[in-house]
Amino acid sequence: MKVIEVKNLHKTYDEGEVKVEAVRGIDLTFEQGEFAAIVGPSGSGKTTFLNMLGGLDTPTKGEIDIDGVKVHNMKGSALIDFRMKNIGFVFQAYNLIPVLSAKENVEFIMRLQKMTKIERDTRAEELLKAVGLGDRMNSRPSKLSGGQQQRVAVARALASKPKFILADEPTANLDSKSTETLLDIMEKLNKEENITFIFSTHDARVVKKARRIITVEDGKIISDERKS
Amino acid sequence: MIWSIAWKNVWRKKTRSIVVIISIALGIWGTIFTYAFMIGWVNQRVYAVLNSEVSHMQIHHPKYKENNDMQYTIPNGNKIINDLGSISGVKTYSKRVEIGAMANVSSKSTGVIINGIDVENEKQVTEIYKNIIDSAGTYFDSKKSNLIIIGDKLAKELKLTRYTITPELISSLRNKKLPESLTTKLDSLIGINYRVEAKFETALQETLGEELATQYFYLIKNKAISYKIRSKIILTFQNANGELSGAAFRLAGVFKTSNSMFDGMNVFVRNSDLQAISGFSDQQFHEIAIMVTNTDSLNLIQQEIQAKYPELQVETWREIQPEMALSSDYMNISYYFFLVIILFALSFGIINTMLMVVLERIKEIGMLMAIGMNKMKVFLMIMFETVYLAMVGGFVGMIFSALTVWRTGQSGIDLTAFVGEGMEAMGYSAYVFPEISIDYYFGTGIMIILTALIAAIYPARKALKLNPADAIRSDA
Repeated sequence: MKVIEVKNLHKTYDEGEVKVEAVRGIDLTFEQGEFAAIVGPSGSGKTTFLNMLGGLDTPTKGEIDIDGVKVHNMKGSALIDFRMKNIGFVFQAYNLIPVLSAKENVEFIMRLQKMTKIERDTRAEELLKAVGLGDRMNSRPSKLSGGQQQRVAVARALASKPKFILADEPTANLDSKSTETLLDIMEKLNKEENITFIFSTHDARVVKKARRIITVEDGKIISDERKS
Repeated sequence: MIWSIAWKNVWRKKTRSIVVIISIALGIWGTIFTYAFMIGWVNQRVYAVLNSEVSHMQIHHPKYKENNDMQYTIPNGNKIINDLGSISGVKTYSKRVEIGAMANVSSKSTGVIINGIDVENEKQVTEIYKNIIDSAGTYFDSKKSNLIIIGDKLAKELKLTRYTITPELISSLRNKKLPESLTTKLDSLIGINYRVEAKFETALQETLGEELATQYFYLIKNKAISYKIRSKIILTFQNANGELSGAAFRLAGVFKTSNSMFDGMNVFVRNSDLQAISGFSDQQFHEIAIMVTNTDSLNLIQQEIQAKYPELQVETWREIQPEMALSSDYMNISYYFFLVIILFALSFGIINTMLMVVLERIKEIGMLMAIGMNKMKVFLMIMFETVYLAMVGGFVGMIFSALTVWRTGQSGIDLTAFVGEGMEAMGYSAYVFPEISIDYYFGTGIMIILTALIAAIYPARKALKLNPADAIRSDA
């Protein structure tokens, strides 16, 4: 089942007299349950592409269709609301709220969605157990390792039951053991729960795990390989 | 949810928040306490005006106050006195004869105003009887005729005082824990009488040294002074027929109010004694002083009396002492004016702090926006944080203010050693009892919240302008 369809996507940054074309005509489709990595050198346009997929940036030209919704036409609070309900984010620097516990961080997005307390409690506990942090629910981010914080971020991204998860360099700040644990958890969630993951990464370990590898260079897709 | 995160965020950088809270608390404490001091000061003066000098209202012949010409007595005065009792809201009243005179003792003479009073009625409208100095006589307790009550300032001027260091005085100074070197040196002055304050001061300076004498002069002087009760004072004046008249009076008591000018000018004698020598009958007097039950209805009562006696001058204390009324009214306005200035200054500290808060949390705010927190919630979060910070500071400041005002309001602040005589010369007490009504605390609380809301706008707008994609990738 098609989740994302991108057609002729362009993004040009107007920096005074100089115009920078970060994305130059990308056409892509993602199916439900994909475990895809977007790779490419720094400045290749992969993060810009990911930001547009996530509704954090608007394309100069082209279309983004997520589950039948034309995201490229959306603005303001409608776009914020769409992000909250449909897209999960995992960031390179974890970006947890430092004054909240792991469980409260996971609950946060459910509060924004106005879920009941029972629903929030049950789902936050389930998700934290799924990422192996059932015993650290009440710890604040400062008491967790980098790997543990990123696992809380994954649980938070899953909390709103999104259509897919965008992970921008999720392993960049992690050691190899934490990376392995995190990738195993995400792979398990992908296989067992059919959750779609789209990574932007430089990390060979992520590329190794991914079942689809999209290579971007100079704002264009130069290869799109699927592993059997 | 937003309000609870905002509260937790306030305590994220404890030291910084506490510094801001302390600065707000100090600003609020300083403002409230300064004003409580000034309000207490002015209210004491107003109280003295009402209860020792003017009363709530006065009635005169319309021409009397032009030159204080004693021929302008209140026409049909006794009828008015009888009518006042039937006017609703009038609590007490007393009639007075006022005559300008010379007060003479053997070595000195000075100008005074003789107030001929009905003692029992006067006690209902003024509290001079409560201001008789300890061991300085009584307020017409004796039935003897031709008694006179004078003020402390006049007693000094007429040299009806003496200054004596006694063993009891030294003992009381020791109890006050004054330096032993001072009390030991004072021993050499025991038993010596000084008639003049200046000579007593010189003797203290020679004995104690200039520094100690200056520091403790006011305290020692007030304990060393005694008055020559039963001294003879000759009052000479022009009587009702324009002839020079006079009589000898015996000093019965000495009073001291917070207004040394009043104390230096006014003497009180029984009206019956004055009638015998002044040529005024029981029907003739110059002033009726009135106290009312409720000061809120003062103007209505004034209008009622004025309507009944249009030929007379009926004035409230506000018209008799307009500068005092202005001071009292000015307090309310100036408090908020002063508070606005203080809060304006504090708001820059708040803006600076909240701006730092936003700039330090760009990445976090970007993340919040990315995962679905809308702009209104981000704006509210910054607003709540600012209001919490200001409210905690304001609350701490107000608690400390309330405690300080309560404590000093009980004990009073003694300014006698610094500006005592200067203040009393202007009619203000040298003992100040700070006071402030609870309305000011409510008003201050509202002003603090308003300041926080205004101060939060700029940092909150800064947060709203962030682009989530750029913010997430920033270094902050």
